[in-house]
Amino acid sequence: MKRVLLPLMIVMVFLILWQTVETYVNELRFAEGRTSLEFFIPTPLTIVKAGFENYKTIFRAMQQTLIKASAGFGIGAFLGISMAVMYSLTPALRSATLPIAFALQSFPIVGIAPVIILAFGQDSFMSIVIVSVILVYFPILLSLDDAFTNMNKEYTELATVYNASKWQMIRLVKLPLASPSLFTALKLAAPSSIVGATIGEWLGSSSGIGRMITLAIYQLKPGILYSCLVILAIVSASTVLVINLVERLCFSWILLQSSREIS
Amino acid sequence: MEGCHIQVDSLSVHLKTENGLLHVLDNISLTAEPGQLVGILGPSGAVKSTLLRTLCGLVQPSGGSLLLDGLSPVQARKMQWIGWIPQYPALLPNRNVLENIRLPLEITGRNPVISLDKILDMVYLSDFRDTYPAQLSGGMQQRVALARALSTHPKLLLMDEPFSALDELLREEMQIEFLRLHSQTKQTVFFVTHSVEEAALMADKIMILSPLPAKAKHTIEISYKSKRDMNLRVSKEYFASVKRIRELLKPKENGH
Repeated sequence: MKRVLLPLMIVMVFLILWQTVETYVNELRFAEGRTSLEFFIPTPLTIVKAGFENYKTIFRAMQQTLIKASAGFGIGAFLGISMAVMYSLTPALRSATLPIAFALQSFPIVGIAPVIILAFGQDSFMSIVIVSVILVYFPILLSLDDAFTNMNKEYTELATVYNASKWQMIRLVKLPLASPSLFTALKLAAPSSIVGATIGEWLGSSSGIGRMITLAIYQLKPGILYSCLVILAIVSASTVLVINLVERLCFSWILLQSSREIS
Repeated sequence: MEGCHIQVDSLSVHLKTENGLLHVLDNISLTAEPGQLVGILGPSGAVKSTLLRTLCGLVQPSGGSLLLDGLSPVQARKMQWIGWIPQYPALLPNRNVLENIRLPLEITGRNPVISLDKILDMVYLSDFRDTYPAQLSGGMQQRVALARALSTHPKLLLMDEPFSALDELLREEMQIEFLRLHSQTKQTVFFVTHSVEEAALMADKIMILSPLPAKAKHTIEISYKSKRDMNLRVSKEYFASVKRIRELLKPKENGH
């Protein structure tokens, strides 16, 4: 409880300070006949008010974004895991294409996104999902591939002595041993999938939270902009919590192991 | 199924390294009778492990021959004759004790020759069948590795410094426990060790390897009048064989 309470109090103090200071400054500016700061940086109360007034549209937008992000996450994770397994089964394919994967990864997403949208269409569900897939695919591929290749040799040799087939090696030895790193990668990738979808919508969509953010900027509605940010942060954090929960429920041995490493 | 006979004839092994081929084993010959415990002592851990790896077909020899009851290592491996105990237990963290012990059987799709319950009993792990490796002590983990190697009822057991990761007291306990088990299961055993005491206690036959490229410097037989147990450790005949091995390990010329 204390772990949550203290940071929460700091945040509260910060918000109260922000509210009071800005209200005071705004009064001074008003007396001088200048515009309110609210147009550039809204106060916490304004943000909350905008959020409540527009909660239906914001939720609907978030929902649309979440659907695209989930599709991106699912497809990206599936492709990343499959590719890492393929690499492990066929080292020749790995050495031929892994450098390309690395090179592709270094293209910044803000540059890639317009290219994708241009190719797959403005305002298309598909292009947003693809942007999201790209942000999910590479981290999962690279971290799983790393876990596979830097695996403790004792395990693979053991399986070899018992004549394990390549597929058995993956299924019985490599995947279980790599699953802690896989989960770490999934936890990083889940918020990325939302970032990807948001950037995609930002550049070329008529729906979703990304679109709502651009509209809020053009329409000078900073309260909505900030509310969108808050909901994005909450949803991103929740995706990590969901993966944590899956890990806890289905892979409890991972936590056993990590608690042992600490002790 | 009891232990197998092992015939090694002028075996040579070259390993690929960054600097080209490394001559690791040179002209090694050895026979082991069924049920014998063979200890391999020598200066370099890598060389000793290479011999074990060649015995189970993980490394191909560049010369000479190696036969396990007339079969090549790879054939013997396919017949499930070989049990392998690595230096570290290498237990899968996602499987409990019973599931870890079952792994070799799962890979080969065979049924156990002796029941797994009996194997668990032999290594005193019956109460821990549902426990995960992370909850076990180092000694217990090593016992699981031992049980896993016994699950396929192998004819040949290969152990790569099996007790070296354990602390001294635990190691002594495990050595005696292993000897007790072996008196029931009677496989042929090859074990690599860097401990003279371990070799003297456990081995019927000790092969002392020279530095690279390793030749068999000496091969000696060890036999005791008394049983191999805790009491042997403080007996005169044990100290005599420890001394004998130490003499053999000394470099021949004392240059300076």
